Amino acid sequence: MEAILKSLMVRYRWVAYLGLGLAMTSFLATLFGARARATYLAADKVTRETAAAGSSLIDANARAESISAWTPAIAFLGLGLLLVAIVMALGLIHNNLRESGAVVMARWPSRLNFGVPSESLVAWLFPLTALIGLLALLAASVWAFSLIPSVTSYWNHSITYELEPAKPGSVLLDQLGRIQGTLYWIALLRFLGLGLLFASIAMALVLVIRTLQFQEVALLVFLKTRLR
Amino acid sequence: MRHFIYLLLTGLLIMAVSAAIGVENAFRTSSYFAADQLMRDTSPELARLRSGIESTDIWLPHLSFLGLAFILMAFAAVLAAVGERLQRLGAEVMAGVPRRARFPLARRPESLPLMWVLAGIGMLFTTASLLASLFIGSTAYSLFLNPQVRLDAAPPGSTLLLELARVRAAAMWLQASSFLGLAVLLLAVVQGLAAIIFTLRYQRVVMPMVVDKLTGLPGMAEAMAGDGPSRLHWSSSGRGDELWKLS
Repeated sequence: MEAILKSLMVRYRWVAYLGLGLAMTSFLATLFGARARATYLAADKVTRETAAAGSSLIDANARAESISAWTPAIAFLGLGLLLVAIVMALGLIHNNLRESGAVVMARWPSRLNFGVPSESLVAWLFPLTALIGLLALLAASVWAFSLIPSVTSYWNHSITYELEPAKPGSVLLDQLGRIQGTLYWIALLRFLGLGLLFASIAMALVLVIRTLQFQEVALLVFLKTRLR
Repeated sequence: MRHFIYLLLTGLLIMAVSAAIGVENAFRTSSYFAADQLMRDTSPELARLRSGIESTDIWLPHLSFLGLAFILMAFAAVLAAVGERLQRLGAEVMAGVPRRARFPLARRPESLPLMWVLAGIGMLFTTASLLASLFIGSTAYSLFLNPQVRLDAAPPGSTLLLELARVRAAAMWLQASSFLGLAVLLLAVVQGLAAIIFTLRYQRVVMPMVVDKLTGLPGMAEAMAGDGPSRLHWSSSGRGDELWKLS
């Protein structure tokens, strides 16, 4: 498990570039969405709201609505991957500090060789927390993508003749409720994911500090004992 | 390099100003919605109130993003300071060892200048997003000075409809562009960490070789030999450097 984690951690730059790529994709997609929204809003209110399903105006509106449903999730996933890259880099710093300390102390007299600091619970918790955070963001993105057919299908109706007169219990109102409800869940997952990733960064920093403190004390003991 | 504290304070100040403006806008929004729909849609006074609310809604998030960008820039600056400090420390230690045991110093990591370039691009993106949002916000202010009934009756091709399309369309991409700016800044932070990793890796390779050479020097082998204390253990009580204790 530790070997797998170590081999994954060295790829932190690729994870960061992937995150930037996703944020860029989200930005480019919103440009298309903005164009569709501008096309829709260029028509007057009566024309917009009475346009029939399948017309170019309704198509443009459905496209704009579906793009605004999934792009924030992708942008957050991109930011999440960048935070994961930070966690991985901190993990790598921690490993480097431990290993270099062990290599140097291996050259000291055996009674002065303190080895490496004992692994605390935090060392296991920080990759796990980062993984759960990333999974939450991935789940939010998959859920947002799964909404696209519903959003497109809902907005592919005339506002005046089909959406506004929809009766309670109708398919359209069910769809609207599902879309709005899901968007709240997705927002919750996004912030949960980011929160867990920030917690993971904090834990990784605690580990780095703990290792530095260990090495500081070991070095002081060595100097006091040997160079008196 | 030591300016990170000013970057951090600027970021926090911008966030505090954003929060204060947000609270003020929330009060304006609640007083706007206290009126009935007919009044909201027809009254020029309420339209003036709405224009302020709508325009603030457009630019305020980007001001907060700029605050976050300053804080991330401070984070990147701290990492650069740590990276450079590690290099300086390596140079100082190497200067202290006998000439025969010395090794060349690590070159300056390439990720450090890249970090500053990325941080600059990220700041540029978030600042450009704020400027664009201020421009769109001013359009929204003049647009929503018109009561809703006038906006609803706007004919195709009219200035009002064109402005409405511009305002609503820009709101979509502006948010994503601020996110992109933050993503570039986070990539700068990753590059700052990469600089630290580079220096640590170099030191991990060089330090054992320095120790090996040192122990080969006359008098050093004796200094390294003999007994000493046994082990360090982690103590959860105490603070800072008192946490690791000798058993």
